[in-house]
Amino acid sequence: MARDKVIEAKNLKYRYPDGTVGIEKVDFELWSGEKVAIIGPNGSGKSTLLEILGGLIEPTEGYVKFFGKESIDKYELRRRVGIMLQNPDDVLFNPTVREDLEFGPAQLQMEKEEFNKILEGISQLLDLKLYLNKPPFRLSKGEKQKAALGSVLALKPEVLLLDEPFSAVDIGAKQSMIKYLNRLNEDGVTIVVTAHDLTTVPLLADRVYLLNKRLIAEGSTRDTLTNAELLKNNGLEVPPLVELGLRLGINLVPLTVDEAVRRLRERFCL
Amino acid sequence: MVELAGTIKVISKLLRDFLVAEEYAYREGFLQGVDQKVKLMAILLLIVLAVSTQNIFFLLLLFLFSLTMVLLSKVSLRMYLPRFGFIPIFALIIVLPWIFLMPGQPALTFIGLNVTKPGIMYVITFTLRVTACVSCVSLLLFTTRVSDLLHTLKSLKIPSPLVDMFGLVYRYLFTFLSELERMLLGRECRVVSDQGLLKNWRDGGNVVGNFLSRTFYRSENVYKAMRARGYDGSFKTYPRNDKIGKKSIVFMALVGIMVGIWLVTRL
Ligand SMILES: Nc1ncnc2c1ncn2[C@@H]1O[C@H](COP(=O)(O)OP(=O)(O)O)[C@@H](O)[C@H]1O
Ligand SMILES: [Mg+2]
Repeated sequence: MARDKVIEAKNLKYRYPDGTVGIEKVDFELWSGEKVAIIGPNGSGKSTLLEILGGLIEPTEGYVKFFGKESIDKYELRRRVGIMLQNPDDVLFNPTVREDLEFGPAQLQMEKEEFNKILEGISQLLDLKLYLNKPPFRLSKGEKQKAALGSVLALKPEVLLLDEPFSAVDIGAKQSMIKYLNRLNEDGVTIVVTAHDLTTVPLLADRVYLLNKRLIAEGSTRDTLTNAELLKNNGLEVPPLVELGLRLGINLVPLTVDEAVRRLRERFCL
Repeated sequence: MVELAGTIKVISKLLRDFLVAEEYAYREGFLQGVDQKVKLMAILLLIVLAVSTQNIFFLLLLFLFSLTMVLLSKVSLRMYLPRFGFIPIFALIIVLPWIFLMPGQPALTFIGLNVTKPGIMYVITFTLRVTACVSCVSLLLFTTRVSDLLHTLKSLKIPSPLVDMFGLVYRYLFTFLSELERMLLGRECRVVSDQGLLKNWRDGGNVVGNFLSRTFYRSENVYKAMRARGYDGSFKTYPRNDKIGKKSIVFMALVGIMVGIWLVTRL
């Protein structure tokens, strides 16, 4: 089966009302079923790009096309593309976490029974049961992030756009979120995440866009993350494992710990 | 600065605590299980009764009735009373001069002024009436989710833009308050010395300006987050209890008894 193009954007530019250029000269393509990361240092325009891709802001120049259509109905877009903004305080605007989870489904008039099933699953997965009736502002940053993710997952979108979803959650939650997102992807959900910390990128993305106001590079996760020069020149930290691999001169530099262990075993016959 | 900030912080915290009464709306208590429309109408009826009586006994009874309902709804009086207590106290202070102003038979003399019997009666009735009314309204707020309330208002044919406006303001209020508290906390961490009054006021101006621009920025983002989840200008909510169950019938009966007592006091 030929893959469908989910998002196509050309020559994007976004200028904020105060004149700041968020991004310029960015091309972006997303195919159904992909896992893509948008990386770049602080202020490189990751959030700006993601909000354009989510149809929340209109580019000043260039265009975005969703699902190959010339124009798309707002309602359809919202049902099919879920976007989680970077600051969970913005996402969680309801009096209780439960209402935040049900906000999206209620707006899109999902059946109550269906939502209840989803709610059960999400609160189980993200460990939200204890917080459901709490006001979001009483949660810690990491708990807020989980709740914010939950509120987007509740919509069961085909495409998930997540803006730095793991920046505050603890390691356990991060691992289970990553596992879950990968499982969703196997079920056909297309995923885009942004990150300035590159450690999670290999675990969650096959393809990477490197942004620094402009689009600097696009390629496979391996090619991009093992290009130490490129990363350093654009204000990103070379992942320690990559650095280690490069210095040791291991061919096929490892990106994850699992991979590193395998390579080192092979090489040193451990 | 510290003082001004402190004051704003206390007010903001009070407001937020008041709004968070929502937590109680999820408990499995008596009124939480009563149909929203029935509850809204019945409580409105109780308020009409309170407003249209002079009978101190009835007003007291109504207040006790509301407290009983609070307890049955698994809300502790320790949480409940402080939340609205300031309103009756405020009302008392406002009408207190009427003990002198009301013409009538003097009951006692106080620094050369006559305290009249009708004056005393008026002040007591007024304060009690306010107390009973506010208590009934709080009863509604404590046991009903705001989104249910909005839903009910809409289904009662209250014009939808009005209801949506209320919903929007209610949601933004949280954002504003949390932004305010965060900003003041951020300042507090850095302000070390207690500065003079002038500096204090100038800082106050800065805080307000800064607060406005921050809340504006935040509200834009919150609006984005709403749209991201399908908000298109009118809030849609899931109704909770669709059927009129046992609890609703019991509640209607209890309110019926109150109406009966009210009628008797009118004879
Ligand atoms: N609301 C805004 N108004 C003005 N400038 C903004 C606004 N939001 C972001 N910017 C600017 O746009 C640029 C890109 O920001 P952003 O997309 O948030 O970057 P990132 O997410 O990669 O950290 C930055 O220089 C930032 O200062
Ligand atoms: Mg960002």
